Amino acid sequence: MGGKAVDRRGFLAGMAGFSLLAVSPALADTGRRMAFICAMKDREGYGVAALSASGEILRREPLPDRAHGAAISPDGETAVILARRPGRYLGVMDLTGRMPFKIRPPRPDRLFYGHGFFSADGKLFYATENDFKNEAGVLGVYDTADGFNRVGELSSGGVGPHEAILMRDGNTAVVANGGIITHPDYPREELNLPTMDSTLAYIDLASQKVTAVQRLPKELYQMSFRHLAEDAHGTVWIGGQYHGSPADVVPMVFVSRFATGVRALSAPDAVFRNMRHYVGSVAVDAGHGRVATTCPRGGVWQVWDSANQNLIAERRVIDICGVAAGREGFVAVDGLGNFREGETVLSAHRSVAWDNHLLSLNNI
Amino acid sequence: MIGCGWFGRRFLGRSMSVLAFCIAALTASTASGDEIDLSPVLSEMVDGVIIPAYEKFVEVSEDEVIAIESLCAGPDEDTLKSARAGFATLVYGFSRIEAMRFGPAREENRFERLFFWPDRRSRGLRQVEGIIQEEDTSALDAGQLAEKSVAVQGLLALDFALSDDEAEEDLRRKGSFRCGYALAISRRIAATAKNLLADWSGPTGYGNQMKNAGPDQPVYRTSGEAMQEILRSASEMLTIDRDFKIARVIGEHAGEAKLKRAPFWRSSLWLRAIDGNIAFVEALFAGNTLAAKLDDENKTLPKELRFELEQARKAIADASEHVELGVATDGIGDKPHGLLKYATVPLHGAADILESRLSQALGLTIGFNSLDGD
Repeated sequence: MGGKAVDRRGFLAGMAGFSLLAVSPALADTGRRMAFICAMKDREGYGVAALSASGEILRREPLPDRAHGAAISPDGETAVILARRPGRYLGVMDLTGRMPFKIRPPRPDRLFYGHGFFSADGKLFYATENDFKNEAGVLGVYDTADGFNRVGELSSGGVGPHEAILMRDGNTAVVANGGIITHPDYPREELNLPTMDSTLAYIDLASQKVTAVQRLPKELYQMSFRHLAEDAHGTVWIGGQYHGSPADVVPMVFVSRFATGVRALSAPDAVFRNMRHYVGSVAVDAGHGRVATTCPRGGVWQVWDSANQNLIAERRVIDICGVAAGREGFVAVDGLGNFREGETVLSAHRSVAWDNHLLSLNNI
Repeated sequence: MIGCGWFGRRFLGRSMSVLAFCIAALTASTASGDEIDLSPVLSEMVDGVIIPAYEKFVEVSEDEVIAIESLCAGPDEDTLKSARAGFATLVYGFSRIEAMRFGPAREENRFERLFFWPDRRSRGLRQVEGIIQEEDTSALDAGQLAEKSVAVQGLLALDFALSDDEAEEDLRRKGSFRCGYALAISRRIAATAKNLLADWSGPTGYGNQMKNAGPDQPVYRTSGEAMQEILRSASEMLTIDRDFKIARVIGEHAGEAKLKRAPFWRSSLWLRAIDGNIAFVEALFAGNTLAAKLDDENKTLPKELRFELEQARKAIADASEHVELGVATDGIGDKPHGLLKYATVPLHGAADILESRLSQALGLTIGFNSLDGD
C-alpha cells in the first residue's frame, strides 16, 4: 500500500490540529461548566461522567454495566449513554440537573449496540440495536418527551449496526453496519467472521427508507465499519476494525459520500500497521478542518486534513480512545485516566479508566 | 517519550504538578510492556508448547485420513472403530491448539474451517445433512470441498459424518457416499493443519515473530505485546470453556441441561475436548522461564494457576464418568452437574490470574480500551 510519508513539515503542521498552543484564557475561564461526557470505570464500578473543559469530573452517575457511546440532544440539555454490546440499558442524563438519572432496558428481543443519535428537533432518539432472533440490525426509535419510550424501529440497512450519526442536513442518518452477527447466548462472540458483510447505510429518516448501501471491495470483506463522523464538507469519515490476518496491512480509515460511495484513504503502511486493525473513535474538528482517529490497540492517534484527506500527524498514547473537538483542537482521553488536549495532559485521574467515546457539549 | 520538563515548565502554575505528569508518562511506559524482556518466556512457549501442539495436530490429522481410507476401502466393525478412535485423537489434538485463534488461524478463516462453532441456528449442520442426503459428489473432492462453506469441511462436519444416528449403517456399507465425504473432510482438516504448522514454523514463521518482537516486526512491536496476545487467548479459551461449553450446556439445574448445545456431543468427546483446552493452557504457563521473570511476591502465580486448572480438570474428568453422551436426550445427573458446576469456579479463578494478576506481575496492563475492540 502506498501513501505519502509523514515528513517533519507535515508533522509540525499537524500539531496545529493536535493543538500544542497554550491553553487559552477563554478555556481556563470555563470553570465548572460541563464540556464533555464520557463513560468510565473507577473504584466504584462503571459510570458516566460530565467533565469540565479541563477534565475535571463535575458529575458522575453510576451505571449497571460497561457503557460505550453517548449522544447529546440538540438543545444540549440531555445526554444519552448506551451500554456496550450486548447492551442492556440506555441511560438518560438530564444535564440541567432537574431530572434524576434514568436507566431503561431494551425491548426484550433487542440489545443495544452502544451508539445512537437524536433527531434534528430532539423529539426522537435513535439507537443501534440487535434484532438477534432475526440476525438483523435495526434503529430503535424513542420518544424523548415521553420518558424515552420506544415507539418504533427501522432497518439499519445491514447486520450488526454500530455507530450511527445524523448528518448535518438533519434528515439523513448514516449507519456503520459492522456486518458481524452476535447473539446474547454467546456474548461478544463473533459468529460469522468467514461470511461477514459490513455496509455503510444512508437512511432517509422522513421516509424511513434506506437510500444507499455502500460496501468495500471484496478483498476487504473482513473489514467491519465501526465509527463515524461527518466533516464540514459533508464527507463521512469511517474507522474500521479488521478481522482478517493480523499480518495483513490494510487501510483502516475510509471516507464516504452519498453519491460516490466509500473509499479507503492512503497513508504509509507503518501508520496502518500501528493501528493494530482497530479504530476506536473518529472525531471532526470542523473549525480547524481536521479529523482525528484513535487506535487503542495500537496506542496511537492520528490527525487528518479534512479538505485533502491527507494524514497530517500521528502520535503515540497508550490506551487512547475517546476523542472530541475541543475549543483549541482535539481533546482525547485514555484508559489510564488521562484527559489531554493535544499532547497536553490537563487532568489525570489515576483511579479512572476513560472509555471508548468522548462527546463534546460545545459541538452540538 | 514525552518530555516531562516541557510539561512542567508550561503548567507549573496550574493545578497539576510536574511530578504528576512525569508519573503519568512513566506509568504509560511500564504499561507498554517494554520494561521486561519476555522473549525467553515466549521462546519456551512457542518452541516447547505451541509448535509441538501443531506438529501433533498434523500427525493425528494425517493418521485420521489413513484410518478413514481404510474404513472406506474395507468397511467393518474394526475399521469403523479405528476411524472413530482416530477422530477422538484428532479432536483432542485440535483442542490443544484451539486457544490459538490468532495469527495463522485467522488466515483464510482456518479456525472456522476447522471448528465452526457455535453453530447457533444449525446452519452448518443443515448444510452437512444436505450434502449427505443429496449425495453432492462435489463434496467428495477435498479441493472442491474447500470452496464450499467453512461449516461443511471441519471437525463438526466429520463428527456428524462419523457419529450421527445413521452413520453406523451407512459407514458399514461399501462405497457409501458418507464415507467418501468423511474422507474428503479428513483431507481438508489435514491440509489446514499442515498450513497452520507451516505458517507457525521456520525463520519467517509466526512463532519467530512472537519470539523476536520488535519495532520493525509486522505484528508485535514488543515482547509484551506478544505476551499479551497469549495471555488474552488463554484467558479467552478458559472463559469460552466455562461460559459456553459448560455453564450454557448444563444449565442452573441438572434437569435443565441441554447436552446438544455442546460441541462433539455425538461422539461423546465434549468433556475430553474441554480437558484438552485446559491442558494446553496449563502447559503454556508451566515453563521455568516464566517464574524467573516474576518478583518474589508473584513467584507463586504459575503454581496458583496450575492448581486452579488441575482442580477444573479433575472435576471434569470425574464428571465425564457419569455423563452419557451421544444420546438425544436432555438432562444430566445431579452428580455430574454438581461437578461441572464446580469446575467453572477454578476456571474463573484461572482466567482472573491470566487477565489481571499475571499480566500486572509481568508489567503488562491490558488496556481498558485496547483489550477488546468494539
